[in-house]
Amino acid sequence: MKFILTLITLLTLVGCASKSRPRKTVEYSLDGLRQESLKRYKIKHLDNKNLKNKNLAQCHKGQYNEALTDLKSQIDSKSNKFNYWNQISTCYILKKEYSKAEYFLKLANSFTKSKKHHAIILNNFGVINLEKQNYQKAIDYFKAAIDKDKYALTPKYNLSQIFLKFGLYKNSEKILNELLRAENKDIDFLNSYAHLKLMQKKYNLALKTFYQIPTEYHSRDDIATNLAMTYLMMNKRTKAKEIIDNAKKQDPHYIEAQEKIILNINS
Amino acid sequence: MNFFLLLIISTSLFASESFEKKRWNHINNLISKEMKTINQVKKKPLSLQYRLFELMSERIKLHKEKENKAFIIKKLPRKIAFKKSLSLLKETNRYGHSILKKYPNSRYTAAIYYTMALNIRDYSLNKSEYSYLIKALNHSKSSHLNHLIRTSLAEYHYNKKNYKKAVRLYSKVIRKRNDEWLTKNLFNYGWCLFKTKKFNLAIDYLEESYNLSKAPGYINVEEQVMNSLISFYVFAKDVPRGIKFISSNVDVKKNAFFKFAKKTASKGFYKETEQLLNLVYNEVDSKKDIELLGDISLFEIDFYQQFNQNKKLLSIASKIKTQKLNDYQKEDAITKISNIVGNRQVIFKKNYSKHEKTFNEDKLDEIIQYFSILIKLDKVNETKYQYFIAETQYGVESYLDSISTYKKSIATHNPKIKENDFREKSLDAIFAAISALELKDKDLFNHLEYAYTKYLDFWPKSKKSNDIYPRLFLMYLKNKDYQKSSVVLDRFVKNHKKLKSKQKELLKQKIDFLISNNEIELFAKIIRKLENNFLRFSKNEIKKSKTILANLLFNKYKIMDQEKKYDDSFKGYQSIYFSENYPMSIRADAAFNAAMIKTKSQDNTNAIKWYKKAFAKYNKKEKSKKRTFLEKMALRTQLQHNFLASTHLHKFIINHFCHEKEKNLPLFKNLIYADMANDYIMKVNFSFSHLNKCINEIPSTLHEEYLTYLIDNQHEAQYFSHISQYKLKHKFSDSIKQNIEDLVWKYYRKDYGKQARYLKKLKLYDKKLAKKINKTHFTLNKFNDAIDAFYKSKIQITSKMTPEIFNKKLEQRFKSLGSIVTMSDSILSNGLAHISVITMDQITQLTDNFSKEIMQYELPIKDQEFQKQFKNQMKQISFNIHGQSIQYKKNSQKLVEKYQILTNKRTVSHQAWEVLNISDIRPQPAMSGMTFDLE
Repeated sequence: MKFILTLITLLTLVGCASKSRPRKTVEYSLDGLRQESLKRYKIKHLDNKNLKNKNLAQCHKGQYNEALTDLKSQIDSKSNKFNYWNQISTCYILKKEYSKAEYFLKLANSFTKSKKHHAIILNNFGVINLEKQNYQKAIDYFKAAIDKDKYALTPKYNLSQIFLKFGLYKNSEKILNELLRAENKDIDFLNSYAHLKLMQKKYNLALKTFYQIPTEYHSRDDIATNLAMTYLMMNKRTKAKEIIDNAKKQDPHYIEAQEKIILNINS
Repeated sequence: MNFFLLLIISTSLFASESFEKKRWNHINNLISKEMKTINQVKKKPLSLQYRLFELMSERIKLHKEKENKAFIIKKLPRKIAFKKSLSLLKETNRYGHSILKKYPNSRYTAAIYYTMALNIRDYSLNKSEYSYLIKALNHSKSSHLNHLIRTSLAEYHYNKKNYKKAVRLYSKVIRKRNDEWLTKNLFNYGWCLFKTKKFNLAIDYLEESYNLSKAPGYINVEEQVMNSLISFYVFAKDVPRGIKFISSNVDVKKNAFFKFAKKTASKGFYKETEQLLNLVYNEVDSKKDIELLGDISLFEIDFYQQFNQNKKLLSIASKIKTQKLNDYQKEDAITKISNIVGNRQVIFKKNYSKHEKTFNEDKLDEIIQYFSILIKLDKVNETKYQYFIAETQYGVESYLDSISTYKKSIATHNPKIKENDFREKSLDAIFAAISALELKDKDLFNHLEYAYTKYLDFWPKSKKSNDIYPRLFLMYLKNKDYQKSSVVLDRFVKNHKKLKSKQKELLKQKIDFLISNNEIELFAKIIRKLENNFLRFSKNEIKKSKTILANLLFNKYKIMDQEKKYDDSFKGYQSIYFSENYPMSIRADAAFNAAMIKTKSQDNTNAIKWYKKAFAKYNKKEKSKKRTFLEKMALRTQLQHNFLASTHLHKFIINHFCHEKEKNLPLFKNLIYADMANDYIMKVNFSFSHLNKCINEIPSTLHEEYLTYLIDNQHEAQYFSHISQYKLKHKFSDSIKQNIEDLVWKYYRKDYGKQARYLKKLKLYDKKLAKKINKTHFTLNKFNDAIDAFYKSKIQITSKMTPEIFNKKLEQRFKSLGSIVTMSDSILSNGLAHISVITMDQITQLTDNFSKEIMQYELPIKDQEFQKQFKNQMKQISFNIHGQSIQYKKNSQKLVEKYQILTNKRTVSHQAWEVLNISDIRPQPAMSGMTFDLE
């Protein structure tokens, strides 16, 4: 009986692991969204004692219950603060409890005091819709967020990802250029741009862009996959294989893609 | 009982009187008969006359006897009382004188004179007695009569205090030794000698008389003689002779000695008296002579008092309280001891120096002992004696002792003896003593409590009690004896119904005191009394009290609550709820608080159970007040992410206040939002359908929000069900139409069933569009069929194939392609993005494949030049067609980019098809959306 239980537990863990994706983290200096989102903060940054949004950091570390319990305890002093409700909402987004996230996001919306606040709300509504694969609504929210705050990078990045997903490369390129103008060292901006160029068959430009990304990030599954594909399109199969061999192989989506590339290389 | 007793006494009296009367009548009858008989003789001889005289004298005696009784009983004047006998006396004397006149020297003359002397003697009327006696003596010829006359003469002188004459006569009279009256004559003779101061001789004759009295043939005058002898011994100062005589001659010596002792004492002979008392005690039998012993003790009291023998006096007084005394003795003893102690009190008080505050404690103790003796002897008057003791103690400022004695006096109060009511005096004295003493708290409390309590027990309605009730009440309160303070107040209220305001003030003081001492249970009890109209407190006052009580009761559990000790806090509130000691509203509040604890600890089922309990006890107004609180609680619970608990609370409020439709709307909305946050669609639907009766109308915005929620979360069936149930088709037609169209494209060519279902629905909103989609879809199908047919109609190159035939067939294929392109144009012209993208993808694919097909054709002609030209031509054609294909691809990309068409239905027409054909490396934004966290 005990054995069966252990097995079930393991299976559950394995099941969860296969669905979840590793959190993409980057060096602080290479994070173009560092002023807007903790999403790509490394643990050491999240653990920084000077970090204002400690509960939010906890959520980004996956410590949802601790964070939410702590946040609940602050209700009396912070119930009229925009940031308080947005943190809670963000935690629920990260926890993938989107209906709760929406509930608290609406609450946060009632305490907005600036355009940036509006942009934040709209972006996060967009993220929720993104997660629900309501892409059109997500686009609408991101666009609205950008309208509210043209300097906000996060909604632009999110929007670019949808465009890339659906092959709207010109739409995407325009946004990515803006992003790179603002933060030209951001790993994901660069990777997205390189991906764009790959899809536009501008392999050299793609390659050039990939190499603006520090090499230690080349093993990240998304970057490695795109880079290997570029080499494959350039018929540099050995290089493509080498890249894939060095990939971290943590992201199920890209692991599958990498396997197909390898098949193609070997064919 | 008394009647019965009287009856017995009267009967016995009658019996005795009847006998006497009969005897008297009988004698009188005999006398009368004999007198009648004599009187019937006309010529009476002297003897008969003398007999008649004798009878008349007897008759005087008889009547005198009768009259004497009346004289004693009725206390009439002598002349009136003895009227009859005096009349008879006169008549007899006349008759006697008439005989003497007729027969001056007869043989009866001396007897007649002697009889007349005796008749007169008892009336002491004049000196005739002596004259008659002398005449009788002169005429007497009989020695016997002579002795009688001399004896009477001696008595006459003795009575007239002519002792010397009497001595002379008695000295002769006593010579007659055979006279039965010799003892009496010796006694009288002794007395006459005594009076002539011949004491020893007098004693001699009396001793003789005493001894002869015991001898037969003599009248016994022992007692008289002994009494006189005792006096004589004392007078003669010869007590030892007396002791010796009594010891030798008296049979019952104790009485004689006792009388003797009394006599010696009266004459101041202390030692002799003590000697005699010892002799008495030697003679008495302690079991038989109880009464005598009592008398002796009583005498001793006088005796020792007379000689100031205080110790012996106290000793005998102490002894007497243990003796058996008859009523007279007891009364005598009480009187004697009362006098003794009374005198001692006066002296003791006089001797007390108020300045020095000193007194003789032995004296005080002695007084107390006497009173104790009196208490023993006279139990019914104990209260009086205790009071006197207390007064004595108070008089010398022994206040503490006096207080306890006054208490004893009060304790022994006997209401049947009205003259002995010392209660008020005692209590006043206790108050005075308390104020004179500087007592410590506890002692002061005890004494005052006693005094106040007793006063109120005795005079609960007196004017003075108006002040005492509050004092006692406050005293108990200060001492935290709440029960007694309540009893006092209740009595105050009962006995002084017009002093409500004063009583209210006292109760308010008590409430304050209980509050400051955290005496919650008692405070609750008072509130219960107030609720029953005790002292007519106003509703507002009662309400304030209840609020304070609730705060006191709940404070502890509130702290537990704040410390998150929910179980303990809940149990506390629960205990209050179940206690019937508390007012209903407080129990209701306790239930309410218990419910809140359950809400906080997310035990929703129990939370609602307790809210229900609370509401069952609240009145309408209280419920209404709680509504606001519950609303806040529900919202707070919701804001603290406990959506399920929040919905329970919301439903509870809405159901309870269903009639308050206006107020319920925000709650209704919150309820819906909470269930949506929890993704409890069935619950949302239930609320919409079952609680909408508690609001005026479901707002459109709420419907809209719910519909958005449903569609965003892919709850398509619920989406349409909600629209249908609440008839929202026309209200949100645009958004519904858009959502249906999105669904059509979502399932387009993926799920034909849903595609058809949603197209049908779309028709209800946009018939034209639905028709257009249907038509275009139909065309697309035909287009696909044409493409399939095109692929199937490739040119078959056989050995007989000639360039002409080939050209002809190739021309036909171009024609076919042309018609397919025309069809695609037709489809694209409908402007349906999704179908256009599919069409473009397919036409791109078709042209690309056709360009490859062209390059594959080879004709069976061995002419190399022909073959070279044919290849070049095919290459050119293929290139052109491929160019077309690329153009289609570009157009497709343009279309997608221009209209930002989000579709995954592109394959070859996708700009990066070469990459995607190997592997889909596109980013997955759904998995990597960036939250905007930081301000």
